[in-house]
Amino acid sequence: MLKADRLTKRYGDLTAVNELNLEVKEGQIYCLLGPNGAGKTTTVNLFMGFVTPTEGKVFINGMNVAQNAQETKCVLSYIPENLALYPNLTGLENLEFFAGLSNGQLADSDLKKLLNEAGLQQGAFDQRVSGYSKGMRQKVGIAIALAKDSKALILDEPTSGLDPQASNEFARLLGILSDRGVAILMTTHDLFRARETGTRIGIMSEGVLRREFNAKDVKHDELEQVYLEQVLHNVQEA
Amino acid sequence: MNLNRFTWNRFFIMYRRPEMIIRIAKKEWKEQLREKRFLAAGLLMVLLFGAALISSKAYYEKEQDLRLQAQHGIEENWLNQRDKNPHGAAHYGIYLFKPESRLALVDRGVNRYAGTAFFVEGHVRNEAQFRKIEDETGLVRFGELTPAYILITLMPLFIILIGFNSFTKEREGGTWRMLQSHDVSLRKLLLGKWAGVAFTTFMLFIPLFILMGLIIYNVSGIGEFSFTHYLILGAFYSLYYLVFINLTLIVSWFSKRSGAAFITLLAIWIVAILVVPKLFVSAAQYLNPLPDTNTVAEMYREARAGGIDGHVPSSARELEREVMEEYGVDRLEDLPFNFFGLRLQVGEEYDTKAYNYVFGHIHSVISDQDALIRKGSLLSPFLPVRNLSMAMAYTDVDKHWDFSEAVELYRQDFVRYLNEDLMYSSRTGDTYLAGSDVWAAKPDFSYELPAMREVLTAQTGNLLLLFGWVGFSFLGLLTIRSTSEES
Repeated sequence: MLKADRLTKRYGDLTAVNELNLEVKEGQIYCLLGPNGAGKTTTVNLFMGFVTPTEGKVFINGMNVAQNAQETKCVLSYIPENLALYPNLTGLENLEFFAGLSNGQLADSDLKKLLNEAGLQQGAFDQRVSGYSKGMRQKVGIAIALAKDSKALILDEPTSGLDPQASNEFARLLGILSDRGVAILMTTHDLFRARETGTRIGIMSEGVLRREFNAKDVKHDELEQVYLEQVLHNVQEA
Repeated sequence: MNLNRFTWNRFFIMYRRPEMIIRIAKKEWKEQLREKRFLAAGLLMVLLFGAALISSKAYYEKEQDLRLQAQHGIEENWLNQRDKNPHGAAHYGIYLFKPESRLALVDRGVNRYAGTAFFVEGHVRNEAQFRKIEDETGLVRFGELTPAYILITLMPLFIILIGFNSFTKEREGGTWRMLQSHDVSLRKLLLGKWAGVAFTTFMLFIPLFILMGLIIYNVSGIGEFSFTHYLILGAFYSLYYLVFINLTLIVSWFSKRSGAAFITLLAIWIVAILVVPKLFVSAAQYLNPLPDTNTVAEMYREARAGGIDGHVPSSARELEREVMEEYGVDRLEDLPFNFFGLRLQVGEEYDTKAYNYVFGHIHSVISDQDALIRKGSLLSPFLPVRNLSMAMAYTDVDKHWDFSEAVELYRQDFVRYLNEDLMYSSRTGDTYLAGSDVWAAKPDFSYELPAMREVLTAQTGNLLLLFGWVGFSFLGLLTIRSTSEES
């Protein structure tokens, strides 16, 4: 569903992503770990078509993003670290707007059902988003993805700053989406969450995908050790 | 979001999903409605417009009332004047009042400065009198609160206020990325935002304009209410707003921050509405100055030199000879008419020629000034719409001049009538006294405001300039395209 083929992005002399090969299949949750500056966000931006690759290709549902930017947006949802919504609109209105951009008009009852499914408390539906916590906004983001009926979901450090309970709740929602066959690519710093939530884990540093694991095959200590080795390697290089 | 495929061609393609544009417009509208600055600005506009409308209505009604009373009083005075020599009556004179269209309630134009009443008398072509500005303090220089002032000067500010952050707020708030992650093209987003700002603008303008129309329709006074005329005026204002809507969106797109967008737009407003008009008016006055009173008097004296003065017999010796020869008489007393009347009339015709020369020069200077000021319209959409607004309200310089010319033609008829009465009702001298029958039979003055077609034809230049601005601003929207992959 999501595929990077020798994907490279350079900004002048800096190579943000270097010959990345990565694949996320339907129903898979791929957690991309890495220290700051590893190239995770650039990878997300390349998948989303926000930036164009210097070399290599990105495929979503078999379509090359560079050639079918518009079409790939129809099957893809995106939740950034700080999901931005319109503060003067309510959660329901935000969902109505973004869902409308993809799927046309949805009935109020359907929208409420989606928010409910995303775990947002009913009392918050009609409150303005300016009063929402980050966790609440992320739930609206999930509801938008649900409304869009996306085949793939890309998340850029969605759980950073969430309290453990909200983080658990968020992981549960990702599980639901995964069960429905949605391919999920998530960048994170949270090793524990990656192992608990992900089906596959990749560790990235200096724009290179260093190691990949099946989440169920790797122990937390082992994952931590590999991760720290990469971070340490980075620090020594610096 | 496909940022790199925006072309003019696609701009006009029938949209597969127009509902998306409507959805974006509705979202914009909803957001605006919930913002305090929009509500405050909207409320302020309504209050100011209400105040302007009430004061204009009161001014117009008072003016009409005074005018009717004055016209009636002057007519009565004329009819009831004592018996006197007709030439004495020519000096007694009458006043003629410039008729006003009902739309003068919208835009008072130059009336306050140019005056509204003309004194019609023998020998002299007077300029308009009773300039309202003479009775007012210097504060009026800061601008009159009229509906046109609100609609032409302040409405663009309102548009700027609601639209300056159309794009910048998306970038600053992070929602730009969310939009980019959806299947919405830049073209649709732009049209949606355009529709949102335009909808808000016209949701304010249309009710105010309808309300004003109802008040004008019901106001007591002279003149018919022309629905078509009023609609055309509204169309000119609407075109002007389109220019500002487009400029606002263009600036918002190219600005990185909302603050920068607002400052840029405010600077555009100041330049377009305050600086350019004043600059070009000052330049026009400097490069083509109107002659002062002394110069006009000197020009008149020079133009008049050598002509017959109706009051001075020695200046008409040759005329006497020619007329006596023509009628085959040796004495003026033997002529079949009073030569004194003829002499006055011939003298009057010399006066007229001299005044035509002087006023022709003044008109030509005003035309030159106008031509230069019109060049300023290339830098400001305010100038053509202001000129169109005044023209539609019949309060511009052209209409003032048109009426002044009509008054002058009437003055010539009026004086000729009295001179001819003197010529044919007496035989010699100035002892003949005319009475009320002569006063009652004086020529009637009638003046029709120019037809709308005439007004529009005269305003072709301003119309083209306004349409040019609309076209130019829409072309400017074409420059809105993704220039950076990070945008």
